[in-house]
Amino acid sequence: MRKYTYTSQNWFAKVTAAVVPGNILTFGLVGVVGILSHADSDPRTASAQFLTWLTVLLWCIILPTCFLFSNGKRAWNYLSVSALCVWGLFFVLKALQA
Amino acid sequence: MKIRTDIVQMYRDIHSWVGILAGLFLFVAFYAGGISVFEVPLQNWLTKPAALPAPVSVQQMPDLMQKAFAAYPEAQQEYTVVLSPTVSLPARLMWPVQAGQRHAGPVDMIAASLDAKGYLVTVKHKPSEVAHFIDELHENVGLPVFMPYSRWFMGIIALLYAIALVSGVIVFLPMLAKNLFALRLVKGAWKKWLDIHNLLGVFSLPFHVVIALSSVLFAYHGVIHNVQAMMFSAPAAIHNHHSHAEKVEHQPIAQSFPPTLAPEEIVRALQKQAPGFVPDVLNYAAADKAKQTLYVIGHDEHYMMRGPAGGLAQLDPVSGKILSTEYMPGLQSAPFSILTTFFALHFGSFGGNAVKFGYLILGLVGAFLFYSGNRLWLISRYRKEQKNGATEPGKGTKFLTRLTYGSIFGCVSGISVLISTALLTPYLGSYLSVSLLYYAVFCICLGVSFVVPDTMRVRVLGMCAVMTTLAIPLIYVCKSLVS
Repeated sequence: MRKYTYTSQNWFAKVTAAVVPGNILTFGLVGVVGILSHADSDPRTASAQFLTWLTVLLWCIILPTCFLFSNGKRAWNYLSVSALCVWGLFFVLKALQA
Repeated sequence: MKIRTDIVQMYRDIHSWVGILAGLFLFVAFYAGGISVFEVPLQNWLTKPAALPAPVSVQQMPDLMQKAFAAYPEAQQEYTVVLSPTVSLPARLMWPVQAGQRHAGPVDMIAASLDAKGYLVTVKHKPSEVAHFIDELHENVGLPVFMPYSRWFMGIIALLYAIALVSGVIVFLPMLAKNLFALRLVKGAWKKWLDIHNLLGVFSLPFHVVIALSSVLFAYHGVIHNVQAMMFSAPAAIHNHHSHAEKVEHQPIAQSFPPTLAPEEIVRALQKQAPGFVPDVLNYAAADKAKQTLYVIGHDEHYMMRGPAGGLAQLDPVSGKILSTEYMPGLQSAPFSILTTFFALHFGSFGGNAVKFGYLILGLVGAFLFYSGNRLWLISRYRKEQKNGATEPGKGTKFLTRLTYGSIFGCVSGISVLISTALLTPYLGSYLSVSLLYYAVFCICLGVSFVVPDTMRVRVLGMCAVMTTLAIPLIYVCKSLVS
């Protein structure tokens, strides 16, 4: 038994969720990967350039798949909570590294 | 493969709306991009040859440089030594009229050569703007807006394109087995265009994935780097060549530049360190009063190359030692080779002309994919309207039909008119005149599309595009017969 039927009607809330908390989540994930791989802020290094590609890849995954949330509110909630957790992890790792 | 029908329906809606929003911009990006693969040959073809004696031999270059710098001391600020002269770079030694410009397109240069008696001859030279304009059209998805807003807009289009790719695949997956090789050309317009769209889309999917990702990167890499700079600590170790450069700075400062190696010796030194690398151009610039930098642009067909023009190496102009190999084909570290692969897959800068022709075809097929998508959208929208009892297309359908044909044929005609005009007359000198001509043709086609009756539209605009495009070889043949 299906709980809900997917529709393209609520696209706006889902897309804004992918753009706002989705974006924060993306940079959080990139930050965690960057800290774990000891990347620095010099854009000329290979690690910084790999992280740039990773950011783009994550955008291009989150944006088309955000429609798979059942509704906009869920998309906002899930992506916001994930973003918070990931950023929390980022700051913890950063503090440990320092 | 089974996917829930409501998910497929949702992605079908998304695919068609995203497609209609981005399709026309993507058409221009792919059509102009396909042509831009051959930007350098196109520029050489359309540039008026400079009135200069033949380029001097490599052995004569120190003599030429000495005479040129004696007559034009300011040229030492920034100059280019051309190892393989072309129509666009007609002399062994060239320097910009205004030093220090950071401009992506052609700039006014002074080209220097020696006549038969050994006297210095200089001439002002600027390569054709047309090839560069077509490349800009590609980068700005056809919009006449200027950086950085056009890049942001291009990025949004590229993200919509990514959504269209994913949604298109999800829509097509359930009917993959049945429809992969289907091409029902006689079963009505809708099936014909659907099959063409699916066939082209599925078989060029890997190319489209690469292009979508790299285009988003080109649009937003600056923003991403800024965020990274806030997130990560400052670099701990500075690059080798930077520390080297600093050492040079602390040495006793000479009044003028230390004597640099002759171009011939630079080439020899380079060959010793990187045997497969073929240098094309040596770019010298004054970093400060006592120091010069030397960047060598060259190619190595055996490797992927970072930019459309090839790879890049920084050399010490005094000793000829390679200072950085990050962007140098063949000598890059493994991580930089992987990064270079991503870029080379966008530019088609590997494997020589065969790959370039492949990229031209992929670009044109990509443009046709968006044309077929728009056509499909218009047909299915009209079908829906007919089902609801309408006898003729609604206002929105009519508007989008006119816009689609007008801008697609306008783009093709505009580019063709630019190339034919550049072949006919040398007066297409400035970027502004090139842009005005293109957008005039584009707007005329768009206007015609809105004015002519429905039955005539494709015929009139199609004829215009075909005729302007056929004019290019015709003018070329006539010109070579006359001269």
